[in-house]
Amino acid sequence: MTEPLLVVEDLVKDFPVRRGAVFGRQVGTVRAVDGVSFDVRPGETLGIVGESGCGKSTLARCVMRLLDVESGRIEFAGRDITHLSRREMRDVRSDLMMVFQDPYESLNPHMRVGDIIAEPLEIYKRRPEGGIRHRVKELLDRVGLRPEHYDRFPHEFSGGQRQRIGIARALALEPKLIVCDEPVTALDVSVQAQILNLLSDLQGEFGLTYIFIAHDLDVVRHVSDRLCVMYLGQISERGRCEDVYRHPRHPYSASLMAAVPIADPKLARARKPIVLEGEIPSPLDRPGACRFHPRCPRATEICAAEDPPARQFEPDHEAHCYFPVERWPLDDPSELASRTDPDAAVQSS
Amino acid sequence: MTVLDVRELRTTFQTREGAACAVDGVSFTLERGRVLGLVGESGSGKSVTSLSLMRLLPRGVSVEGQALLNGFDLVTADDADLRRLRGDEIAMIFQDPTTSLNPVYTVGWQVEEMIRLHNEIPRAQVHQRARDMLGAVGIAQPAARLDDYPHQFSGGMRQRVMIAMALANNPSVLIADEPTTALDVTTQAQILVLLRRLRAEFDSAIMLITHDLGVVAEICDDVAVMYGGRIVERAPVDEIFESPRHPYTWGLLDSMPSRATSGRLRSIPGTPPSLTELPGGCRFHPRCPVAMEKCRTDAPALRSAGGGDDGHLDACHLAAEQKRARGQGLASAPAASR
Ligand SMILES: Nc1ncnc2c1ncn2[C@@H]1O[C@H](COP(=O)(O)OP(=O)(O)OP(=O)(O)O)[C@@H](O)[C@H]1O
Ligand code: SF4
Ligand SMILES: [Mg+2]
Repeated sequence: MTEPLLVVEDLVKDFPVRRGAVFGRQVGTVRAVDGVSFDVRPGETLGIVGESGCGKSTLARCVMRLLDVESGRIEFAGRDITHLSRREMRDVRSDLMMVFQDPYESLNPHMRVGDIIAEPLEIYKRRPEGGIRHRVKELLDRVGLRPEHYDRFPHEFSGGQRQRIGIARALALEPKLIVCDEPVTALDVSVQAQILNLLSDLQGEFGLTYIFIAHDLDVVRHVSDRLCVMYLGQISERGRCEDVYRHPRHPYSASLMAAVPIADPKLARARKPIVLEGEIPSPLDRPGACRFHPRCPRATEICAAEDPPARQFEPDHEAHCYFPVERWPLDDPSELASRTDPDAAVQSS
Repeated sequence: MTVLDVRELRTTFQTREGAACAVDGVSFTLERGRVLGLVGESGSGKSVTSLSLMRLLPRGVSVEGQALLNGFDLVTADDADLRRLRGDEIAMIFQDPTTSLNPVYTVGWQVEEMIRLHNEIPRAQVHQRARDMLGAVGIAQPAARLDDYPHQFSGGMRQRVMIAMALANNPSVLIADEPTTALDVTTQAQILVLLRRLRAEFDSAIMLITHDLGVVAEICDDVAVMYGGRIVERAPVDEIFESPRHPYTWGLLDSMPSRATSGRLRSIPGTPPSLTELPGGCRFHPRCPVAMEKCRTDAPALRSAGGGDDGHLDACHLAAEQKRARGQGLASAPAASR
């Protein structure tokens, strides 16, 4: 098997929590990323999916080394980059680019589009064949913009076009890995489809590797080879995309999938929805042991007492749960609550 | 039974580039106990339609046409009429529950105020009714929560409070503008279950504005697809998904990753037009893969392609057989295999 391009091990990231207006006293910490491990193989797309506040963006920023981590390890192309200084990161940076959620906020409004795309080339003192201007025009063309867009400003573009500008900029240094944080979330569905097609074409053409972060399960399913499902700072389930969708094992992944609206009215009417109790807890009073236990229809005392172990299913498919979902799909949502009790099984045998 | 009958609604803004028609001759009806989904991409005029009906647009914006709420025209209603109707006969829920609740009053006060405005009943009864409403929308221990402030509620709970306020006086019409867009998918599922239950219990007519065809399939009975300020297709929900007739509707369905049959999505080229540069003829023609010469010049009327009254209307010049063939080919593509 090929070596992974990126390995993340047991990553932990805390944020201080302050009370008071400006110079607030620190009253505690929020663990936004709580022991996350995964790897990304060259040429694949690793999807990371989860609801708001689960730590997806923070994780992305840690991997990009835009944030320092408390502990854990990040290895990129065989090199430990966890503690590289800003200067040492320079060599790595050009191989590791990011595309952001909001094309409105991530582009400098006072710069011309051509200069925005050229900026990484300038910073890294690259002298592309034919000159920088020529290279930028090539990039504009590649992402579906026109050469005359070079001298325009970001506000003259629609959301989708701005996302194309962000993608052109990310491509400028010919990176190996692009981290896409909610790249299509702000876009209309027709434009979203265009950008997803563009990302997939570029991947084929340049052999790019993607980490693709989104809260939209349908989008993540469409683009990903492998998938991580996050809940409250942790990865609750990960595996090959088909495996996880064919049979989600973690009750949270299962509930999430069952909550996604189906774009087929007859199927939607026939389906009995699984409706979870409550909402995602605030990061300040995060439950211990299994983070999902207060909302989980399968939880027992042990789920509230100790961190659940990783269970293996198909090769490369694991979920952190004491009572993984036995079969899928369910005929009735209430089945999610009826688990095969391992203790009972032991006693009866 | 028809409770709201909207005829040729036209809303025009004055912009620096001249008059801009954000809603351009829109007609539909809302029926008791049914949910109409108004779908379309950003800028298609969905929210302006609802704000026009609620008469919540700034002065100086011109609203023409008719919107008959149980026979009473909202378009020509004066301020006193509107105060009486809003919250009582017609109510609205917005996308962002954080901005639509007042942070300085308790949740209970705000729900009670909505009831007091339209009813002269003793305080104890108002209180009781507010408590019942919070209970009805699924807030646990409603009596205790009445004294809480909005910031003590999560996003999903605030949206429930908004729904409770909107339904407090059992309005004939409820307009919900992207009520679940700001919510997480598991919370969205809870709110959709709630809306479904309320439709049955309160028998209101609901207009649900959304850009998400999945949400439409889950909850709507009828669908109106908007593009460039006009309704381009209108039909019962099953028809829209099984035999869509307008090329824009085809494009919307094709763009959905959950309906994709291969790695590439079929999508729609280009971007939705901006209000100040709406194309002439069929407004979809610059993006339409099957546009003809006529489409550039003549605006197609919204009518039944099958002839007669089959309850399925579309505004496209294509021949009826073409619409049928393509629409059904599209629908037979396996929808999400789950
Ligand atoms: N600078 C910060 N200071 C304090 N807390 C923070 C900071 N940035 C993020 N957090 C907290 O960290 C947690 C994870 O945030 P993050 O932005 O990564 O979530 P997300 O999954 O990207 O959410 P969304 O889908 O809403 O963007 C959240 O609880 C958030 O409130
Ligand atoms: S009228 Fe013409 S341009 Fe408009 S949707 Fe039909 S075929 Fe396309
Ligand atoms: Mg985020």
